[in-house]
Amino acid sequence: MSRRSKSILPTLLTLLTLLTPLTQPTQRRIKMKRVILFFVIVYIVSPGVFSQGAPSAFDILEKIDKNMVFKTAYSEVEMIITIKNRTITKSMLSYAVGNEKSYIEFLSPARDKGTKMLRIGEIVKIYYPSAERVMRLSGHMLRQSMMGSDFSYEDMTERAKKMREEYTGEIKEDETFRERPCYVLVLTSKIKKQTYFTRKIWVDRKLFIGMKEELYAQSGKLLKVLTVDGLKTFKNRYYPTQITMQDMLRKDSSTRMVIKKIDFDIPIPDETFSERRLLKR
Amino acid sequence: MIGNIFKFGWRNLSRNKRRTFFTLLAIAVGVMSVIFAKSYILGIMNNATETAIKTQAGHIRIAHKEYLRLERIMPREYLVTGLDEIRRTVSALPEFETMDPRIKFNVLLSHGDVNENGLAVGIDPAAADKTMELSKAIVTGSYFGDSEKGLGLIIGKKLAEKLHVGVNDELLLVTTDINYSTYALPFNIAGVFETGFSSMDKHILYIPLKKAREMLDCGDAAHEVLVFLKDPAKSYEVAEKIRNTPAGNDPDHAIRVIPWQENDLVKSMPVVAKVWGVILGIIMFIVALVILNTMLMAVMERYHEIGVMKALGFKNREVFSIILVEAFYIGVIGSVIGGILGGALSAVSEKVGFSLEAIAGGLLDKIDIPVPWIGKVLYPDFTFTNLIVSMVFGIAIALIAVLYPAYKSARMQPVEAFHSELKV
Repeated sequence: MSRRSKSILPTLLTLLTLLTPLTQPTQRRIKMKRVILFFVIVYIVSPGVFSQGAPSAFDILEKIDKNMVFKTAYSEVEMIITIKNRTITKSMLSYAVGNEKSYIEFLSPARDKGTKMLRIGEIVKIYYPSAERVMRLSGHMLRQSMMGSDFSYEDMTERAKKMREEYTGEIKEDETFRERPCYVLVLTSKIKKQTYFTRKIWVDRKLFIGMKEELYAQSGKLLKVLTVDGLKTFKNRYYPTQITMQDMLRKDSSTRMVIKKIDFDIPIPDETFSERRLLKR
Repeated sequence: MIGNIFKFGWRNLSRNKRRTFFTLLAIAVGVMSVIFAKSYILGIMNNATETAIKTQAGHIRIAHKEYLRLERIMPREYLVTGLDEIRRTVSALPEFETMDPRIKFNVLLSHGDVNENGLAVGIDPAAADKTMELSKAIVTGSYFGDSEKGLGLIIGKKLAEKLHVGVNDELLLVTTDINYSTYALPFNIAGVFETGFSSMDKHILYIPLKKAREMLDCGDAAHEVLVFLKDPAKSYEVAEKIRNTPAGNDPDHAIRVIPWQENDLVKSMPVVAKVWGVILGIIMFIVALVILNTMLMAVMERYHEIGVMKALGFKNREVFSIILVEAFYIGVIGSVIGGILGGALSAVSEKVGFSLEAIAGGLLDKIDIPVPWIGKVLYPDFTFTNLIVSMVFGIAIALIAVLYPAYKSARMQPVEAFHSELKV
């Protein structure tokens, strides 16, 4: 909103200057030149200021979320971890209610089978069949690698609400990503202890889907790169079905999540998101 | 005549008791300081080497080259296999003492709502205790307790404090195995240890090797095998023998067999020794200056007396000899006293040790380096060579100190000597 009101002011100023009667023509002309030069500089320095109705970074993020949001979803996912020349495939099923709650159960490989993960808000509980115990994870411990992948638990829990509260956003010049025009958003954390201090996000201009995200530490070191490699339409909307995360601190490693099957808005019993369900064989 | 000179020199000592006392004191304190400083420095160096051998190098260390290269990030997949074969080879050797295979991996620890990261080290409790003597470091509980069940562990004191756990509490260990699967096991805390090595007490927990292997799903392999010998000097020889076994000589040439002398920390010792050498040099220089000064003054204030000797018919050579003999006596007596004091101080502190904690206050906790370097207690290392060398040093300085004034006073005319009191 503030961006819009700002963009009107220079336009008004220009008009006012133009409408002033032309006395002392040479002086006036020099002044005019200066005024025009000033606006040209302003225009170059701050792109977007003049384009009326351009959305803010957070407007775009919210639009993405709106596109992604569903009441409930059931999905079958394959997680493919590639590290050096090894490939490990894990399969899992997941239930989710909006962005708030999710339940994931690993089906393979044998050592992971029966591992269950429950996330409610920013608390993650994991059941390990080998130990027959539930571990509760929260806070900075969510930065751990999730099940040996390039994703952390934190990567799975973040959403736009947190972004708006903890980051300041700006829109950089448009770029194309895989030949599609994209907004480029740069979010900078207001909090020092943020895992990813800066985020650079490429958002498809038409589909409003984040296509690529680069995550940086405060030092400017690139920590992770996320790309969307596959999209599918479900009931008139696009949904990413293949996401690849690369943890740059792990050498030659990447993790691809492939959604094999997804059903939106199916009834899920409340009991799914309980600790009892975790302990149930 | 020579006998007389020695007699004369000796008698001279008692003529001005205060002067003799102070020169003796200067030499004794100087020699004592040098002996103790040397013992202390040697203690620091040996302590570091010994700890390096005990905790990371063994007398011979066997590990995968990639594991060694990436040791900082603990890569779990680079293992040494064929341990039985290595054991067969080394245990047949007369030099063999013990073999200590270890597995190291990062774990997520969980107790109630508290989580922490830790470094789990899988050890054979009996074998590892022979080398690391961890059972001596247990402050509460016991060393793996009754580990029949195999699910007991011992944990660093500071790590236990961070997790708010104590003996008999359950601790859940979660890790990623060599195939990137997640595996968890609940353990029972059998004991809490405190070594004084901040990096150990803050991060490490030891679990039975068998359970570590189960967690990593790595069969009967290990990340590193430490071999200890009866005679550490034979490490190169034995290493060569291990390299010639099929286990030590795998087709990829990935396994490294490293004698302790090649350990990075041990290899850095000569550099450390040089640094300490400079410090010791400075100490010795100051001691020499003090002795020099005292001895010089002791001779120079006696020009009057020397003039009398000359007037009585002493020859130049005789005056020179008497002063030198006197200095020799003072040097020997002072050095012997200094040697006894310094030797006793070093020998006692070698037994008792210095609590660095008391000296450094809370500073020691802040040193959090991955390599154990300084322990909580430092034991100086007293050697006989050190004693002899320092005493000879004291005598030599005493003699050198009087050379010039002795030479000068010997050549003085008696009249000149009477006039030149305290003038050089």
